[in-house]
Amino acid sequence: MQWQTLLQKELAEDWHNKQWIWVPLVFIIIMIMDPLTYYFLPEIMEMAGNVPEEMQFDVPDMTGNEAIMLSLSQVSMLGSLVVSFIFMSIVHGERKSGTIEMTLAKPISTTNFLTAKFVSALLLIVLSLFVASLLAVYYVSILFSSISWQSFFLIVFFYSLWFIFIITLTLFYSSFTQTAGAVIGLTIGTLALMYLINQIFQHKLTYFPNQIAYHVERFLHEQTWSSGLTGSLIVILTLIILLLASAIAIFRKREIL
Amino acid sequence: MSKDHIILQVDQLTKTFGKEEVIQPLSFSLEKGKCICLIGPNGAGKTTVLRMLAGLYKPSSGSISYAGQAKQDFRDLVGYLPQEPAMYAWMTGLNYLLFSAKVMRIPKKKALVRAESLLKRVNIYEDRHKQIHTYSGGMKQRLGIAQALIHQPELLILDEPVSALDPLGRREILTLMEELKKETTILFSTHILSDADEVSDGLLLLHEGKLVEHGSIHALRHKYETASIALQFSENIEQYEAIIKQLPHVISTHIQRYTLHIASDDILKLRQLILEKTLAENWPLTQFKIHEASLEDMFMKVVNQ
Repeated sequence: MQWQTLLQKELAEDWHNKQWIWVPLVFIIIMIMDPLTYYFLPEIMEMAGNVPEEMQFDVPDMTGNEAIMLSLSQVSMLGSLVVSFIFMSIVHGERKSGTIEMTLAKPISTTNFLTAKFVSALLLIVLSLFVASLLAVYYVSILFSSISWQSFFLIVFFYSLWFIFIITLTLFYSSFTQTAGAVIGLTIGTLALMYLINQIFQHKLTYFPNQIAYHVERFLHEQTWSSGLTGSLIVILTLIILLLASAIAIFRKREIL
Repeated sequence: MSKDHIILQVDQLTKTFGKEEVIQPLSFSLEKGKCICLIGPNGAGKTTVLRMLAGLYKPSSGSISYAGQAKQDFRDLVGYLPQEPAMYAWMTGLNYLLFSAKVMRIPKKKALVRAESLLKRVNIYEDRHKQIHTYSGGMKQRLGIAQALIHQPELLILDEPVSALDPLGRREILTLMEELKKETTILFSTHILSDADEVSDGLLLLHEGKLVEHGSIHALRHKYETASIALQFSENIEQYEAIIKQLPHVISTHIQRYTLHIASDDILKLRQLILEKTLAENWPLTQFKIHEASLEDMFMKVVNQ
């Protein structure tokens, strides 16, 4: 009952902040922008006018899979930044406004307090990603070639995991810092470092979280579940659980205020 | 006194932040049904003590036990209102009380009954459906007291409940505290002596992290009693000071502008002597006043020791 009450409060607060509207909208824009721009590129160039005759070229045809990969590479970059920024104050927001003092003066367990925040964040992001992916797949299927339902669900599932991983990162960094600035710095720093590691060692680190994009792309072409998907699923789930558990443990040890 | 009367027992409680010892070993106990004021100048450590008692800070050493139970988590026994009450401003007053009740695991129906009766109690029932950010400072404070009472706590802790309010808001809260005194134990902090004088039964005087004095207001007044006589003359005040200095029961005298202050160990006898002399020698006395020790004087005296 305590946990449900806290979750309800988080969801109501997101609703009050209109996050249930603008977060899905931001995801939709990020995901449908590139396929649409690509499709309408000839028209756009024509409208721009005065392109010299010899510079004109035919835009090569793209398959649905290639087009949806444009959406996915956008969402894994911009989406990651957006998620980091939305949740940088997941805990420090309450510290800054002071509401945490009155809330935690009540017998609320650290686990309930943090997991309610975690689950409300998860619901917001999974829903936004679901709606945005649905629209992106719909447009790509009309304008390029069709995408299977399996691919759609696989995309939503694995990219949700990636964003949930970022949410747990912000929660983890909130457990021992004092300001939202520190959280965003550490989160983006970690993501940049992971990107770099992935660039350098990608042949050796098959199950590294950043490899999800590669495994998903392969699924789009082959439509078969690969060991790469299983491996990265296990790795990212383990990371999420570890980060969440350490966030709770650290939070419990430290002073509330 | 039987042990059942003790609601809170604090033993050798300390708090250090980094290397700084903010609270030095602190021991006291609170009796059930009393309204006790934790008083001290700004920076004395009042908020730190109250936060430890509310379970928000972990004590560096020492123990806190409520009603004889040495529980790790005693937050369900305490109702707490911080110095700057920040509630979820987008909630309505009623919603915040229901939220508070539900996280305390009070069943839904009971929560609603309790919330509504508290809203009537603190006089914001009319505005219960308005969002908290529209409330005035006094209303927020009253809602804050209501949320602290939602689970019928053993002890109500209020950190500077009236310091930030205008005179009207202050009056409302002091009246409310006067009423609440009858049914619950209250521990509140303030740096304003007149507030302590008005509602509390006893004082805990905190200075630089140390408990320098405690007891009932009456007993403390008695202990630090330094009644003095203040005289004004129409002329030659120095001359009369010299005469008065020679009288028995005079401890010291000093002149402050046009007033002669006389400290005495027996005010009544000295009064008689002075008045007799005034009549006999026809002193040009224009004002005679017995000055009772105020809490302020006591406070200054204790703090300056």
